Amino acid sequence: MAVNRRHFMTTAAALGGAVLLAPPGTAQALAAGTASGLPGIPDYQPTKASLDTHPVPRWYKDAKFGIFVHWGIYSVIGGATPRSASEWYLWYQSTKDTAEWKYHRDTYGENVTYDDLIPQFKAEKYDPDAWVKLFEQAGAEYFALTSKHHDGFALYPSKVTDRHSVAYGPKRDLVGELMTAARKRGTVRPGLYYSLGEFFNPAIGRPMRNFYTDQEIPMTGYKPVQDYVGDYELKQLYEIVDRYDPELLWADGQWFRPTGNPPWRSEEPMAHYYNQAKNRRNPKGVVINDRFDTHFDFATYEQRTNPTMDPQKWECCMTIGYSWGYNKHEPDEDYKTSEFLIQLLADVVSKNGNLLLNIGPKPDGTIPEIMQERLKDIGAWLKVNGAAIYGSTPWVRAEEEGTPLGIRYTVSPGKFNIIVLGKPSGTLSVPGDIPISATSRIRLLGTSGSLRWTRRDGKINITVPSSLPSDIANVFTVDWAR
Amino acid sequence: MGISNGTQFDALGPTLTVTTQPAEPASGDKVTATAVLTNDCPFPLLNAVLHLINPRATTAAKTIPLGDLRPGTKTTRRWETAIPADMAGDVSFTAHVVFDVNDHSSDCARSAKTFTVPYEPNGVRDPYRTFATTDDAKFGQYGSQLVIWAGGRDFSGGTDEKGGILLPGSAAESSVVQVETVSLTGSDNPTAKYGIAVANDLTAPEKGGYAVLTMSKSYGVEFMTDSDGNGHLDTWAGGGVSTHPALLRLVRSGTTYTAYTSTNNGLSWNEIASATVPSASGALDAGVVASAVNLNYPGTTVQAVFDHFTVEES
Repeated sequence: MAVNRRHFMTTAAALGGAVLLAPPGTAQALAAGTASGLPGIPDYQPTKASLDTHPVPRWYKDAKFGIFVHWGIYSVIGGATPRSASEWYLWYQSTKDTAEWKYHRDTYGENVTYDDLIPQFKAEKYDPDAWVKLFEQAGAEYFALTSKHHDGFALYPSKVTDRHSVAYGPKRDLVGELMTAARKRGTVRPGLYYSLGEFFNPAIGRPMRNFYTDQEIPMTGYKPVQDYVGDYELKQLYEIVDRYDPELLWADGQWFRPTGNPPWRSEEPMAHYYNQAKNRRNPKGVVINDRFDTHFDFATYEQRTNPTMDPQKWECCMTIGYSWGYNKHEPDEDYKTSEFLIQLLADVVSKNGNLLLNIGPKPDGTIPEIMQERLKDIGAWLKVNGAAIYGSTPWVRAEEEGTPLGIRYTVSPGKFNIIVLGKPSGTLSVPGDIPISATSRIRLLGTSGSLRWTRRDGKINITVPSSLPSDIANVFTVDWAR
Repeated sequence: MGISNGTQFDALGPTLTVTTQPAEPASGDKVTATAVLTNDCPFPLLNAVLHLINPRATTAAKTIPLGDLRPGTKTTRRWETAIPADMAGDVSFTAHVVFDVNDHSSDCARSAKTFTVPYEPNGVRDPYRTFATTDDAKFGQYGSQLVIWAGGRDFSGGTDEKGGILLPGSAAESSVVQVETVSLTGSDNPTAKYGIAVANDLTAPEKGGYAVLTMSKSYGVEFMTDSDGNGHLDTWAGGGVSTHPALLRLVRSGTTYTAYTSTNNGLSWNEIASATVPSASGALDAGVVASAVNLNYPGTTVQAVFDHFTVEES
């Protein structure tokens, strides 16, 4: 059975569809002028205690699967070695004799700086509508695009710096175009990643250098500020919240602290973010990750999973290959298989997590074919089996140990779902404590009709059809009349 | 649609709590656990089912259908059990409630009362045997868990001091030895380690077939083998950062050993290295080992806890 995807109305669409990309300040104007807000919920205050009263929005709990996008100047270079993180190239290059330091010298020469490569970041084939359609095909319910990564190059026109994609490189508002495309289609919720700290920035106490001569060099687009946090970082946070109204804020880079290690003072923009989301005619739920060094809605597990069920909502973020940004040296065999990724999704969801799977577009804006293939494979599986994923919740235990094939459990309204990782044959046996009554029907998603089953020796034994919908994971769903 | 627009179903709750009487029970105590579920959501919990779970159990001791719970409803349920004498470590009484939010979404809440029962060196039972190359080793067995207390100056090719628990002659020509390394405590030494060991005779490594696969306190996994059969570990692979708990797996195919680790409960395995140990012969001893590696931390010992130790033919 195909899953009915949850199309949603955005604030802009609800207001008549006229404003898809709101100008700065729109959200506040809505809040102050016309919004009815949420009755009984006081405004969030810029304190951790107040922010901790913010609930994880229902849509995020239900969504389960999102797409992470790392895109920037580093995509031009495409990594130094097959297994290097291309988005960290600038940092690694700053240390003598690293692979990046040598690669840069040998490829571009000692006098060509990282910023000299910005003009090659052209995004000439960037088609945000096609991106959103691909996310949709993948079965993703949300995405997070790097509005600014650790190299400080913003993909939107920031007012506090000219180091952005409208002034340099593509000369386009890459963030705005994707947010608009997402809102037009109304199928995938738009989110933004933002790096609090930066590798190099004069205001952070680490000016840009030529890493071969050690000479300090100008940082492209830099506008001098006194206080990195107050005059620059916080203002950028307000910019992306007020201009793009994202459903998700995904912070990172909090470890690149300015000299003197002042706190990030993130509580104020976080409270503003929550308040502008609720104080409008059609309030919406928004969500924040755990890298602001203060309150959070969900915990992040980078390149790993939570091995146990966790009542605290969490998210596994993972690359398809090794690198987050595009790495042209990465061989196909270093990409995770569709089998692994689909089974990973089932595992994560069974333990109360979401999966945020990363792609790294090329500098021209195209998405590597192998990444598209992986996303479409996941989407094809979700089209058949999504009923056991979207809107589900963990059962009393997430998995079955000691079974030949891995088994993961989820619960959805009126259903108990047995997700078998792999291709069972003959009889599938599961412990007799699963919720099932004598009149329960068991179906295999992707097929019609009910399956024969018996209870014997404390086990539920299900007769498995000879032909299965998937070689990767199959969902046996039990009617659960509670 | 309901779920897509607005924040109607965004809520912190419901609130689920678990308490026990006595509050800090010991091994063998009879315990009354109480779960209190309060629906402080602004919407009803539909078709709610409450599961009450005993320590270390994966099956609910009680499953209680609660029907629909209106906002403000408070439900209390109790269950009783005795803490088995062979249970130690973190012991949790858990309540888990599953409910529907609407036709599209289910949700759950989970809460546990956890307390710690200290491990004591209670020895091991058949078919396990113990061995040690350090004077201060002690051993325990709690259900599926094995515990080693050990000092030892080093655990490498030069100095090989450790405590161990073994299954004699258990690893056939084609076999898989696997264990969950649960915790390593008692020392801040980042190089203290615990893991799997195999040998023709683990009490006499000089008889050949010797290899170990360990997780260190902080410096990742180490796979060491004795390539020339003299009883000294002389090859090394591994590194990185440590994860506790983790799964270690050593696959034997004749004289070829391949080491793996998993940090996601076995969903995927990372191969550490493969090595040939020509002196491996017949069915090997397989076991778990631990060492404080206390040369630079004089007098310290570690408590190493393992679970789910298995040796299977492949």
